[in-house]
Amino acid sequence: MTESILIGEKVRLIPVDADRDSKLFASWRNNSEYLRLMDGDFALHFSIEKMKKWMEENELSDAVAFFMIKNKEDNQIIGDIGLSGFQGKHSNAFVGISIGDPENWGRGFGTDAMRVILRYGFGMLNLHHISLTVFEYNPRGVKSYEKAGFKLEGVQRQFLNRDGRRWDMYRMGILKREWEELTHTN
Amino acid sequence: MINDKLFESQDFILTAIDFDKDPEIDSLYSLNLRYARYWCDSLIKPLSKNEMKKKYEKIEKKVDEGGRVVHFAIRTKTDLHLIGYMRINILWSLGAGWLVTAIGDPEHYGKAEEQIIPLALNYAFRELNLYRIEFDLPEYEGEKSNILIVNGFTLDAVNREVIYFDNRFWNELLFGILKPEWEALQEVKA
Repeated sequence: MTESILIGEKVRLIPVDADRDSKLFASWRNNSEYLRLMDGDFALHFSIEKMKKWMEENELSDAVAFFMIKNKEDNQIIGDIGLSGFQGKHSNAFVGISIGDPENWGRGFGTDAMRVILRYGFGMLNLHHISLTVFEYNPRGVKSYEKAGFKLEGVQRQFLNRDGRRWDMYRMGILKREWEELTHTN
Repeated sequence: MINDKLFESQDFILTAIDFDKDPEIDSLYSLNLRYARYWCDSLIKPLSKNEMKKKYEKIEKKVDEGGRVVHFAIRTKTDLHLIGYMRINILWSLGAGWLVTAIGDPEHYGKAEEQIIPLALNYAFRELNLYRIEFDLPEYEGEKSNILIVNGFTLDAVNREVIYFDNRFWNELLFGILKPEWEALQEVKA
């Protein structure tokens, strides 16, 4: 049973492999749209070496729980998802997700991966709440997170400054009891 | 004429860390875990003098290297007695900053924030030229909400039950203020 914790309908979560995944990230990061959907910081390329070093630094770290997302159908690695920013023990964590190739966007992989990481975060790590942020210009992301069970907790007004205008950042979250209710319903 | 009182309020002054004198005082303040939380990244616990010194070194290194944070010791103007710190974490590309005020000396709870928050906003908007300042407030320090609201902050979001403190979960209140909102308030005050 515990084997299936990291397996969804469409995806499975697997460990990060610095050698393999640094190359993937470097290629995904060539797409500025990907970078701007994923991160509020300025868009920037990193060398494969730098990505690899960063990944290696996080190996064996208890401060983060990062996974790669694998498409079950063709075993391609399509993105990443991870928990970080743990506050205390068994309290809150922050989830970040990306699906690299735009061809894989809007196909339900992200929602499925999110459901899996919620099961891991609440079912294995005993978290109380999981948070995320998503940008105003990413309605597809908002819809996906709502589908996974996240609720809007507020709007950080005009947080981003991109393309000559300010954009809001939405704050979303889900409590363990809400996730339990969802999993019972489903 | 430019403002030459960036670092002073009526009763308090923002200064650099004093590596000789501050560790002992901050170490004592950290016996109150509400204050210790402002210094601890994960496990909240009181810090020794030496641990405090290491925290100072870490923050100074961060200020030097990345320019993504500014940190000031807050002292009383009359005798330069340390009462806490004010810090702004910055994301330059977005013009966004996160303000933190941590007061360790119980004698100055409330009064210090009343004076330091306007000082910090002035510094953030007029010296750092930021556009948005956020203040993330644990609900158990909810008494600070009024000071934030009086200074023009709006409650933007409630991160539900994300803080575990003293045997229960608390919300985190995310307050925000934008530069034009702050400027409008300054005009009203003038």
